[in-house]
Amino acid sequence: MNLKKLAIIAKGTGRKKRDINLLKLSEEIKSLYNTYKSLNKVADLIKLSPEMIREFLKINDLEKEVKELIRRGLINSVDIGYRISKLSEKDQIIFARNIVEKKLSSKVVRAIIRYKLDNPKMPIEKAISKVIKSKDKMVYIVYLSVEKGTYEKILEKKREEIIASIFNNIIPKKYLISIEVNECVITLKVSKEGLVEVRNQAKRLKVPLAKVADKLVKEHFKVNK
Amino acid sequence: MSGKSISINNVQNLPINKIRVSHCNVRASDKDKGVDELADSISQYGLFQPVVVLKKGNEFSLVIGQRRLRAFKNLRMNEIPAIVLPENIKEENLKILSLSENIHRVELNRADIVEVISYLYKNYNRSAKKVAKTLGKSVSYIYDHLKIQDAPREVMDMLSRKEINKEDVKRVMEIAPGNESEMIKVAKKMKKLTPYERKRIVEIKRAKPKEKVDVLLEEAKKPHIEEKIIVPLPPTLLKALDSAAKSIGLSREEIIKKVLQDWLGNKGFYKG
Repeated sequence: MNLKKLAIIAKGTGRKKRDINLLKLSEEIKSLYNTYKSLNKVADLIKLSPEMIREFLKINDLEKEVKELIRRGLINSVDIGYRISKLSEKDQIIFARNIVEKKLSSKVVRAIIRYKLDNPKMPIEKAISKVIKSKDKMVYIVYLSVEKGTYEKILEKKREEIIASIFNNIIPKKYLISIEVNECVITLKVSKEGLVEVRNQAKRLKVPLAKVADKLVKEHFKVNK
Repeated sequence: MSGKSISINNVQNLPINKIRVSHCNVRASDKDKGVDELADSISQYGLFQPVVVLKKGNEFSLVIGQRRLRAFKNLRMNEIPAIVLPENIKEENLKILSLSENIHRVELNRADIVEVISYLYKNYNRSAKKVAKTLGKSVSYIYDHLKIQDAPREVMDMLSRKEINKEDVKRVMEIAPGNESEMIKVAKKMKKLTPYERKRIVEIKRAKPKEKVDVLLEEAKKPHIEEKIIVPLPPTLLKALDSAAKSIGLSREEIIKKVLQDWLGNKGFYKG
């Protein structure tokens, strides 16, 4: 790869801008480093900070299985890769698998690494679980409504039960904290993922969030006619 | 006179047994860290940066390059390339030169940096700007380090040994201000708290300034549940809200909060 091209690629170090695999890019930067033997010289050449060059170089030293996850694009952040490199070889693999499975953000990854380094004797699995559990929880309370006309079409004695069952079916149990139906007003308490489910339903039905409950009830009766 | 204006002589090969570490060398800790790796690199590629010494009679006092000198000793070399400083140089300038070099090139122990910044700050009539200029660092960097200059010695020793970091020392000082034994107690427990809990303990302290440290530590371990209310609005109302937000210069949330407060207040449900 020529230097000019590499410079252009490296400049777009943000995951979204980068059109080259992180592992490939790290290998190219390593070969430059092997030629110049100076972080500052390489940094000057490709217009990145020496710290960033150091982070890219560390990607090359990761465990084989971790590199494979990077090669497959399942981990594509240089920051995350660099943080993983601070762990022992065995811990790197366990942690990298967790990052992929649990879709951990850079912020959470940083918190876990810091906690693990502060408590080196603690097993990595325990450090991961403790940090994740200690995060503040965000609960979304979503107020939705069903139009009066739609509501009155439901069999009177089963109105609230039917509406609740519709939401119980679309939002997985682990994301739904509670549901209350008070006449036409529905109060959902959901996690972030639960909110995403509700928004996805609105997208699927091509209606704004304000109308999703009404549309879902109508759809339910159309299907069960 | 700043560190940058110190003039230097040519590089010479000096006998290692004639070099003593100067008390002006600010690297008080981590002297051995990375020395083996450095020795490997020197034996493979040679020394890129000479050490800096001050001539003192027949001997030399090492100002910069303690790790390099140790690496050379490990490699059983007899001589090391060195820059020799003039004998008449002031002690303060040596300290500055040593600190600047260390801050910029090798990660110096945080406690050492705090000590020297604090020393210079006092010698410069408490001018952070002057310290910043001398060290080639920002004023906020200087203030950030000065915040922990009065931490108990035991806490600073923990910082030196990297058992606690600078941010946590700041937290410790906020959690138990002026109470040395409590600060040490919190510092020792910091590592066991996750980063989220460390952040939380300060927030709880701010909300409950009189709360005991033990209670704060327990409270910090309980994750907060934050509730976000989502009320989907019909498009016409949303449009009106946006237009009001633009005209008044407030955010949607601020307007909604204000409207709710007014309405609930008028109905007698809110007395905020």
